[in-house]
Amino acid sequence: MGSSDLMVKATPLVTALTVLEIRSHAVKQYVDEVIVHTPRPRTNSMGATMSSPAILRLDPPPDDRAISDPPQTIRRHGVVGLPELLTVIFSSLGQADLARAARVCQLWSPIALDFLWEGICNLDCLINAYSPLVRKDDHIMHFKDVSKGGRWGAFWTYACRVRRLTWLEGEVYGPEVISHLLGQVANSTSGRTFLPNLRSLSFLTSSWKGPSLFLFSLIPSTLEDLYIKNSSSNTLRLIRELMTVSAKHLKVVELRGPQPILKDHRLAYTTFLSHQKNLQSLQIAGFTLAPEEIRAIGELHNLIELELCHS
Amino acid sequence: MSAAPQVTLESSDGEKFKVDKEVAERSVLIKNMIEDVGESDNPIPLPNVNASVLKKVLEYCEHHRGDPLPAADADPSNDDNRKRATEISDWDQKFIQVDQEMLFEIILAANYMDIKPLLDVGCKTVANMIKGKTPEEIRKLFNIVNDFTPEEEAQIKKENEWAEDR
Repeated sequence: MGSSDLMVKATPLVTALTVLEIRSHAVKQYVDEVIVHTPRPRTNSMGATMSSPAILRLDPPPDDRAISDPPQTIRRHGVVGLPELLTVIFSSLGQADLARAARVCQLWSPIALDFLWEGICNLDCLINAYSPLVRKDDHIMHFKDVSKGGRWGAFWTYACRVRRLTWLEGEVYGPEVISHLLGQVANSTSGRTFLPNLRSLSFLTSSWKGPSLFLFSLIPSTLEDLYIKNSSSNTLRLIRELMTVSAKHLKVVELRGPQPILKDHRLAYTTFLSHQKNLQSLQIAGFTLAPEEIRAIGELHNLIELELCHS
Repeated sequence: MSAAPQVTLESSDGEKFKVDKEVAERSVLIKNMIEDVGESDNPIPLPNVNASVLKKVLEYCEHHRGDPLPAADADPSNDDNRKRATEISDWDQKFIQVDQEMLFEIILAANYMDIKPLLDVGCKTVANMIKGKTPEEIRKLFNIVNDFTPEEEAQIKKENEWAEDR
């Protein structure tokens, strides 16, 4: 329909001219390729090679180019132009090199970004893809200009790439950031988590101050590995929160925390363990187990590896 | 001295290479072909590999003839595997010191003939060429056309700046 509109507007003369221009452009490109990139002249005598552009101009690029010897450029791009090989190449690049590779061309970009965003620390990078954050005097991060709306599309394409999230001591986002993002998540993902492909989650922080609602909205039910390595009572809070999340497919859990003293804390812990029927590896350090916890572990029928230590 | 079983391989340009079966079977493609067709005196055609590249590939297979075959599903997230991913042995390093065109031909041949360790060595070498270079330097190195608008490229840079200073 769009093309018929164009046909009506264009006079036959203009159409013919356009075609001619396109053809001569294509021919020129082809000639350039032949001259620059084909090591062997296509004909035996230099004179014939020199005159070939004239012949080609009368005759549009032949369709048998693919069948005859391909120009060297195509062979060269074979390696750095094949996604399957780029995947192998990029697998041994570090983050800085992946970030630069993502800017080389449109073919490289998504492949490099898949590797780069596979494992991230904290959410600063993700939230910045949505909208730049600024720090205010109270040291709480706020969006630069949230009234204009964030770049949800960019945020989502990056968020889908994240498989491993490591939580270190990091930025604390203001309530504005959290409520805005959660609202966007709810609108755009029909209630799904905003890290839909997350498989592994690690907390390596000793002073978790962030809002738990925000944190637990990012855990999908498909989470497989959970590492909590801190030495504060926050461990227990995290575990209690996790019980409310549908992460029931955990395969590997590693917990290092303080001795739970309060009875309801211990109960939360036992309940958490008894929900993890798919658990294959469990490592607990930092406290002794109560009889009911040992019983809960005994009922984990898929458990292959169990490590308990005092500190 | 009883001779080891041998097979004949034929390159795209018609040159024939007689090699020990054990050497040729470093290539999973050839291994499968021999299994499917059975022992035969007919040369095995490799229409995608020319003689100079095949010679080089067979040199690699000869040197690594006794190596244990890599596990089919090695987990790349495993620390050992990752460490292995950044190392190239001395012999391999010397072997792969060729011009870019030959390097690419070897990678394509290793991919086609399904010789994973050789594919890895080749791809790691390309990765080492990329390391530390700017996008423009990489494009120049591999003759790649920049098909981003300046705005698109700037946007990607902005969104991934967090990774660049690592």
